[in-house]
Amino acid sequence: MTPRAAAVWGALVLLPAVVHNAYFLNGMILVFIYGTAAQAWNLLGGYGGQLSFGHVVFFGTGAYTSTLLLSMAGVSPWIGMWAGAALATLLSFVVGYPTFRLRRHYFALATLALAEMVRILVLNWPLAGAAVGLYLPLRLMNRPWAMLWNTKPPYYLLSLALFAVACGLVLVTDRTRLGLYLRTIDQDEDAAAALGISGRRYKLLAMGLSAALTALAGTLFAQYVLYIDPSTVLDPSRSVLFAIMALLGGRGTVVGPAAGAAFLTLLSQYAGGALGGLGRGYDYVLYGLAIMVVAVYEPRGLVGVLERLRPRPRPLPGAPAGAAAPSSVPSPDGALPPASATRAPGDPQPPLLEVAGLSKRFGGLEALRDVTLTVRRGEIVGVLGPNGAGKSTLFDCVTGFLAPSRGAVVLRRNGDRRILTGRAPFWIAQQGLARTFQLIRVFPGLTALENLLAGQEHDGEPLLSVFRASPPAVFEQAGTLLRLTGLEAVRDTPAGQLSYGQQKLLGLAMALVRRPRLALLDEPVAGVNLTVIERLKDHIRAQHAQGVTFLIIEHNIEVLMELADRLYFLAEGRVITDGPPRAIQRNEEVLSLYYGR
Amino acid sequence: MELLLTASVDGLVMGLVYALVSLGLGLIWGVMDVINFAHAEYVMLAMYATFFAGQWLRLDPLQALPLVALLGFGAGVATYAVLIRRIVGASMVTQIFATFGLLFFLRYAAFAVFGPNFRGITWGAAAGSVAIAGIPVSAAKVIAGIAALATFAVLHVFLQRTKVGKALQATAQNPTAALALGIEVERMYMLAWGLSIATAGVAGVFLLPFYQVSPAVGDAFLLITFASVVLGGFGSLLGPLLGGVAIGLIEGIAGTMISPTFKLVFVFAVFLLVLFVRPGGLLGRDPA
Amino acid sequence: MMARDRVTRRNFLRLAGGAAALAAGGWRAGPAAAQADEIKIGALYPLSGSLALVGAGSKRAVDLAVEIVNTAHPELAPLTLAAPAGLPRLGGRKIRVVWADAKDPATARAEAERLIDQEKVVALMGCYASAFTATASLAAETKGIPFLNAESSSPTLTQRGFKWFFRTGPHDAMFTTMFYQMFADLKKRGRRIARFAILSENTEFGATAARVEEEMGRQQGYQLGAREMYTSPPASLDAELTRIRAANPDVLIANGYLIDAVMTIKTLKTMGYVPPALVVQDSGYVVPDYLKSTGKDGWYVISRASWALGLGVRKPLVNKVNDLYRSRHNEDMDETNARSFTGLLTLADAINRGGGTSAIQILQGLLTTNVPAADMVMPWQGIKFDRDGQNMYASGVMVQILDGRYKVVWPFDLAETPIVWPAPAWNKR
Repeated sequence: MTPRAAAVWGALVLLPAVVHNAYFLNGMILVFIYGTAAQAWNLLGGYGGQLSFGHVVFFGTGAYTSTLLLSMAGVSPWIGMWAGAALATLLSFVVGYPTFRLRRHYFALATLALAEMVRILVLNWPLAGAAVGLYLPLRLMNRPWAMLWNTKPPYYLLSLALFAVACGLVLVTDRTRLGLYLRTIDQDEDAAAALGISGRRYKLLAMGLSAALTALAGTLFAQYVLYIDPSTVLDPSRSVLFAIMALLGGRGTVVGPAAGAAFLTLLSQYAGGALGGLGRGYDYVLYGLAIMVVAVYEPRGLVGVLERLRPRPRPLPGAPAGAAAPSSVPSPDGALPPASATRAPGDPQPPLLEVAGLSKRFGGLEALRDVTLTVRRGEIVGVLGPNGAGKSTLFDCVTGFLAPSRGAVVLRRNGDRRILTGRAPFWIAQQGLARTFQLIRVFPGLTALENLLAGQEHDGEPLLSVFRASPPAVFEQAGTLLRLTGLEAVRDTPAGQLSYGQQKLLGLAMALVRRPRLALLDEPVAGVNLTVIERLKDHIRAQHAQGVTFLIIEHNIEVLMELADRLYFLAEGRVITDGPPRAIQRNEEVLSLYYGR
Repeated sequence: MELLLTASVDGLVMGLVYALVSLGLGLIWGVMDVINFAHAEYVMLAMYATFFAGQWLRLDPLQALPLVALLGFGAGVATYAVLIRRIVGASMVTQIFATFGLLFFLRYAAFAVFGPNFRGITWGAAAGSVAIAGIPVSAAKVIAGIAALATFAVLHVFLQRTKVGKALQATAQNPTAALALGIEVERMYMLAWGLSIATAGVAGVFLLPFYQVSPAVGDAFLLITFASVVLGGFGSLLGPLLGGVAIGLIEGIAGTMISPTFKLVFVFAVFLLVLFVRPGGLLGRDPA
Repeated sequence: MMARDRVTRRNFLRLAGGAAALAAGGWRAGPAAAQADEIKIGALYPLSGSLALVGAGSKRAVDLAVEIVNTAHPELAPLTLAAPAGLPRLGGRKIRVVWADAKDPATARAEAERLIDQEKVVALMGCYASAFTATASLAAETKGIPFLNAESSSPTLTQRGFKWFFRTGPHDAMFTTMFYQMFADLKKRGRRIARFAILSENTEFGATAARVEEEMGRQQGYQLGAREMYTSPPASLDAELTRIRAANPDVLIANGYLIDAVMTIKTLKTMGYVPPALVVQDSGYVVPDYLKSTGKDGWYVISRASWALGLGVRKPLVNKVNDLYRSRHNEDMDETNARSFTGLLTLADAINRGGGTSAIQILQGLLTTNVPAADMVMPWQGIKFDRDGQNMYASGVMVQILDGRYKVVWPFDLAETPIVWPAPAWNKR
């Protein structure tokens, strides 16, 4: 922590000793409580890209759970608040799990619907006080175990502590792999899956943390205000408030929601009468306008605006000291087969990927018909064919982006067979398959370096390890690749700003960061100039020398001739023929189908 | 049994009204893949427009209809020109919070200008009730239901039988191809927005005689319209129609037969269920 | 690490801003400048948001009451403190109300604390909505400042064992008791009342009222035919009213706000059904917009009222005060702000008799309050607080909407016109 940051937090801690104005302390307490909820929202909506419009339901769950436990069973809120957090997390999974695979609007609406349902249910539930609400047991006033005090400072310190935890959690997310993965999922979930990142896993993690944190804020709110009812802790406008605080301040940043919470709470407390008076709601009109402006011009809110005025480089995601030194050849991952620099032609190699009888129908259209192909370990196999032959569809079926109508895809790994048919893309990727896409998919908002970091090995990655930065070996690997692909100069440039050729190189590098067993490349040299083509070829060869097997779709015959050991020719969804490149080149059927002769 | 019949008839008529309100939402969603969170606010504004047309110009709803529909069309085009065209093709998040900001802006601008009071009208021609299957239903609601069906029909004919309508459909299916064919996609989007808000205008005109307006009225309709479009599925006009009627029936029947207190809970539960099981809705198109 | 700088900068500015505000004695203009001998009373009402209209009405009434206290109005005698100017036992000192906006329960409490700590008010009154009153009075209780409530009707407010909380107006249970007393009276006069139904909105107001209505009904041997709760404002009440009609009640008790009330009447008319009597807990049915929206269809509804202009028939003071109010604001007082009006007078009276502005003195004054019936515009037998701080004489009257006006119909000895029960069917109006 920098000395300045320490000074600020220190000042905040000491504030109640110096300032006794209860009205001001009240404002600060609410800033911390709402700020916690805003940061929690930010975790899910800022980093995870899942906008929740019903977040108040977690706030209310926390408040009601701990309060009911206290007044009915005498359970201390210090314990009750965790019960509330657990319940909120569970509730969040109920909504998140089914909707995360859908577009974000659905999640937003589902949270809204959930919040309304819970509100109506609680409103009619006599045990929870129904509409009358619940008073906290005042007879327990000034007993610390009951979290009830007569003065403001204890609440101030407690809410400050919670707020610090919230900010800390967001900071950790921002600087470690969790934030990286969430942002990849936010920007392109499919591309993230192709790298082996499970969108659902990390979204659920973010969701759970977010819900739990919001619930804790709810408990604290109840303990402070001493009275809760559905209109205060389950009110839909509060969901909106949390979202606005994060949005206007700057979602996906550490400071944004804190600034937003401080600004809006203090504004409402001190100047609310001027703007919001007479029931006319002028303040909300301004908020609405502000949100639209922010949405269109600066999605990163206030923080984004300030950053534009004074750009600072983003801190490297936890770069360990001295990571820049490249090693000549990164050491191979233990599970990979040993690098074989040379391969005697004709050596029978064990099969790595087996595709058998694969068919895919789209309604009446049969895109793939009974496709069978094999890729042996250490080979470079090419796939060519006219447009519409089904090549990309084949890739999609193999890598799990499409489910085949019939047939099987099997991966052989260290002697055992893994059936890939119908499994999720991220799982398949974790088995050692990497792919690139015909239309380049890089993460536009991440720097080139971050794009590469996203490609690190995810198979068997323990959940808790994401709260740490990427390991040094990965940084080294990434650094090497940047050099090899000539992208070192644009290391810190957002990928969205790179040229087409640079993005192509980056896309290839991303797929190969973790040294997959099998790399499926979809038209890797399409649309780029000769220099870049050479670079790409070199890179493929270099990786091949390290033991990576390739399956490449290409239209560029020369490249395939140079690189491939074998070619498959696909047309109208069927394998027409296969064999060594020279043979394919002279094949009558191929020529007629391809060139119309 | 009579209870069930009453509930069903009520639900059906109300469902047609929901369908009308949802129509515009589904249209934009289908054509340009933008979800307008602020749609219900335009209905609210249309209701106010109808109210003031009555107060200042002495127009009854039927007379005010062309005026309000035209205003709605203009508002839709204006919204597109000022805000939406800047976010077409932007990320989901940007779209969501842009239309969300719009919701806020419209609703609280209405608070500021009109105040929080409820206002209603009594439309002489629509007073009294009409018997449907022996059940008396408020005439104003029946008229709204008929207006809903008429609007759907008109829009259907427009989309299927006119050149412009077909161009709109083409744009919805594949904007790039449409562009290549010489269709001005930008104009189509403007048209879609104009039509969408115009239908919101029609909905507002026929809602006012039996439903009082206040700036917060959009709230009540927001989730229901979404539920209707999701339930009915998109890809055609039939989606919002079926969805709206389905929601109306669920609300009416479950509400009357089981418990009116929880009728919204039933609606939302069904909505969530549909999201979980078949997000494409009854007519399903894969929305993922 | 650059981003950290921004953390510190932002928070630092926040801190600086807060400190500056503090130094200036609060962002608002400092404690309201007071005349040396003015006595400050805090008033917390919803001045913004959905209840702003009600708050505004109470404000007008309270401001009028302040004026009556501070200046000599011998023509209004024997209204409390009308005759003298200022508080006689305190040397004619005047009172001054400091207003604050009670937007939601948390803010109400914060504002109450601000009024006490910074504005240094000697007593508080407010807040209309029971939820706001609950938290604001909590602040007063912890700080030992008297809190007078005039309009909130939730019974729980006087069941908290508070020492400093006083309520002049009746609460829901007392109103509902009236309903059943009226039913009993009517049964004696030959009406058949055996089965009842409840239609209620389900926030604090409605839910509490409904609960009391049901309990009392059962206790007194009535049969509950149907009990329908809904969320206000409702999109439709068809389902609820259909079920109620199926239950065939002799009386329908309704608790609802304006839009609910209008919708209830319209739906009943569409259904062609009218229960023999529609008895309501005022609220939506007594707001002026109700009759504007329903016209003749809205007649014959019987509402509880803690006050009605019709009382002026038997109590001229009511008309005199109302005329004064009307001359200022071009409309009549209503039963909410009549209570606010009386509340302020009661508080001022207590301060006067307590002999000083310390909290204890005012508390003494409140505890010994005993205002006779003739000194107020309310229909109560007096104002005297029981051990819980509740005015034991708080009660109401029942009014019925007849010929477009609210006329007192019960208790029969205060009635200005005979009650119409059962209400005539739709086609007979």
